[in-house]
Amino acid sequence: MSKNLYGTPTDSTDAQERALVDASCRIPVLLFIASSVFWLLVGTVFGLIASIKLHNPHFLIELPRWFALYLDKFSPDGTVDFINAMLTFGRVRPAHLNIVAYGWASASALGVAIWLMARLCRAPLRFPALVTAAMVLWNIAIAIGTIAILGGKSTSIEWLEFPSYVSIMLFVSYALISIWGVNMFVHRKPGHVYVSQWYIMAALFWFPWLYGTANLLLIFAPIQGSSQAIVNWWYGHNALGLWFTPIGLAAAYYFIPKVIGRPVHSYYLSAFGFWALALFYSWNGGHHLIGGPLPAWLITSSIVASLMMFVPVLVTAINHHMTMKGNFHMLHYSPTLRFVVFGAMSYTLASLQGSSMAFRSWNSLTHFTHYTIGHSHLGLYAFFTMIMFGSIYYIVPRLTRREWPSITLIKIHFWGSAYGIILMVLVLSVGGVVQGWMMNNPQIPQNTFENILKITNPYLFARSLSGALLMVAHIAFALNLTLILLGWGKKTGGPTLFNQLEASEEAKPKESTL
Amino acid sequence: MNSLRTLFIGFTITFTLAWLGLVIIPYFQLGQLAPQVDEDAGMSYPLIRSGLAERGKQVYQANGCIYCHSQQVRPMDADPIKGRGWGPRRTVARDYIYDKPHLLGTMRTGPDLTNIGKRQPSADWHHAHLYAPQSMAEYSVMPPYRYLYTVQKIKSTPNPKAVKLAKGYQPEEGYEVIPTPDAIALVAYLQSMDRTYALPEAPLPKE
Amino acid sequence: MVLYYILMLVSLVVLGGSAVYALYWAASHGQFKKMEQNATTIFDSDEPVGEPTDAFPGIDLKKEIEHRAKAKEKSKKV
Repeated sequence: MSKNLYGTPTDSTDAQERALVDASCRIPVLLFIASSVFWLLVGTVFGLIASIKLHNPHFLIELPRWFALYLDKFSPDGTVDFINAMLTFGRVRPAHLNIVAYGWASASALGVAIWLMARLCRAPLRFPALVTAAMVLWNIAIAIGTIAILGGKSTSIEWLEFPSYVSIMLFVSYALISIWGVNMFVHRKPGHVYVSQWYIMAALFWFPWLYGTANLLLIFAPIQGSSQAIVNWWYGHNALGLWFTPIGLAAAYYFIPKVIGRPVHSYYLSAFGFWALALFYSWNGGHHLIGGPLPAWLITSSIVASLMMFVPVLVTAINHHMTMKGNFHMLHYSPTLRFVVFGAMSYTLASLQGSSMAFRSWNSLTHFTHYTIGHSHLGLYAFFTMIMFGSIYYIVPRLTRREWPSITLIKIHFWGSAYGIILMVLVLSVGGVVQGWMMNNPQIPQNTFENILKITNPYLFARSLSGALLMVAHIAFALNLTLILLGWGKKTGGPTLFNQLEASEEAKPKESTL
Repeated sequence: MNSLRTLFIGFTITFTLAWLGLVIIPYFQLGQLAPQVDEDAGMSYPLIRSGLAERGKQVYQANGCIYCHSQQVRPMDADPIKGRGWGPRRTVARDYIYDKPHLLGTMRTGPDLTNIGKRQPSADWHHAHLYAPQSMAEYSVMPPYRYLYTVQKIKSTPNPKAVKLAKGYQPEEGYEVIPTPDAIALVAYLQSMDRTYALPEAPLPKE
Repeated sequence: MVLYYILMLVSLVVLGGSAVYALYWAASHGQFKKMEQNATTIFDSDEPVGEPTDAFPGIDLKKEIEHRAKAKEKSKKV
């Protein structure tokens, strides 16, 4: 009988059951994860280009002259201009947003959610072909959508830039996964429904609703003028709050207790936090339009709800902290825990910052500035993306039955991401406040538009540096992932990785038989 | 756990209410706004855009202008109107009834464009600025939109449409810069952006 | 126009209804009972409470366990 380090037998039925579940998820989940990491790299490149363009407007505005002349010889008229147009800031930036939001974040969320769902339902994945088909459709949609945005077919509605035919594809793909999720839930092994399952079920349910409504009211049958703005930000904010956040929290509520081997501090609080999030988050969208052309009652209710977000956020923060208490040394040992705990801490920060940004006075200063961009990166990167990284570090070895090939690459990834995102949020926050203060105080003669641009320039340059750090981190991550998928990592035998004494225990009996 | 159940049912109902509140009620409250008709002057506000300007709006969308330029003036305390010159009054829902999609924007890397047509009425200025923003303001971080223009050899007589550029930004000797139809439409759209009229809910401030 | 009314009504009923149903289901199936015990459902007989399940590849988790044991002893002495 094989035992793990702690002397616990590892060939139990539980272990076999998990192995079966993992084997059933292998193809769709690995495909989702691999494709999302591909889009992460593409999205980072676009983000970096857009960032450089903000402090160096002549960077990459057109193809090099010699190449343009060469291309002109054999391509139809207008090709060169068409390509030049693709490189303009106003197209690269939405391409960046949509690639990272849908290509990376949503796809990795789906991969992680599918794995978590199967594992928590303790049942092998049902209809893996359906999930794989959804994944293929999803990726085709992202590819077409990216080309459409670069080619000038963007809808110019923030967070929904993909043209209508792409949103239909995404919606269908998403609906397939949602139906799968419900089916999976129905066919789960009887027993308690863990809080992560609540979060995932809710997210799988909310997002198609959000996405469908927003697309209908904004793109397929657009409603009038400024009511569009409110639907736009109702969607934009809820995509974060009711899709990325629940998946991120589902992963955090599973991986933190699971990795350190200690149940969540207060399960009651975790359930409470879930329902409080559902209640308050959905009202928050209006705080994107403070001072905008909308009724005051609407904006005010959004501000109130934003402040109420303190409740679920603090509940979650306290809960995670108390779970981790006494186990912080585990951060040295576990890559998953490092990323997930970083993400969970950032969730608290990002949410508190977000709530504070709903105050009218603070909002009027920061609203149209880089401060907001810093905030969205704190939310989507420091919180959500970091948790996805952590989850992937846990999931992939269990699906490939291999260890990660390189510790160094994991460390480069973690520190590159951590320092990169901290730097980015810092410089954008400070730069944004300076920008907003100068913008709103034109009576001071020094606060000309010229000076605003000159003063924010070094901050934007530092942001590009942080982007380069993230790029390095992502390349290290992608490399490690490619290697493990190609079968480079050390092979491990059982379904329970890391616990096994494969090096010592399993080797010893062999020696004795010799 | 009975109290918990009551609490949760409360949550659910409020969650549905959020959707009702943020999507449906605004839709009924704002969705049917009519233009303001000034019968004495025979005008209807906001002004209806020309077909060319409407096409220019599509160029504006395609090239992502909203990522640096907003189109909304907030109330006085947030957007000191005189100092920055972005408009004489805040903008209100009625200003946007013809905008599909809305282009309110969330960023002011560049100036607000609510009233750019009033501020810069000249087409020549816009063409020169789009082709070479730095020729108008050396410090500008706006990217040049050269792909909206074609550089061609001057035929017997210079083309009257040619963009008038400052020294240092002109093409080679014997060449001229001609705006494409996209550029002409975009400039028409920019010129059409004028929300300096008074509305009952947003009167112009008295001097 | 009429389409909007219908769609809104339908989605309102479907969404609100299903959320209420989810709550009703959760409450009637004892999901809100024995809260603290339910937190342990993610652990297995071979991955029980008290045993970490993730580490850098190649790391010696045994040292980690000893470290934990020592820390526990220290805290007991105090």
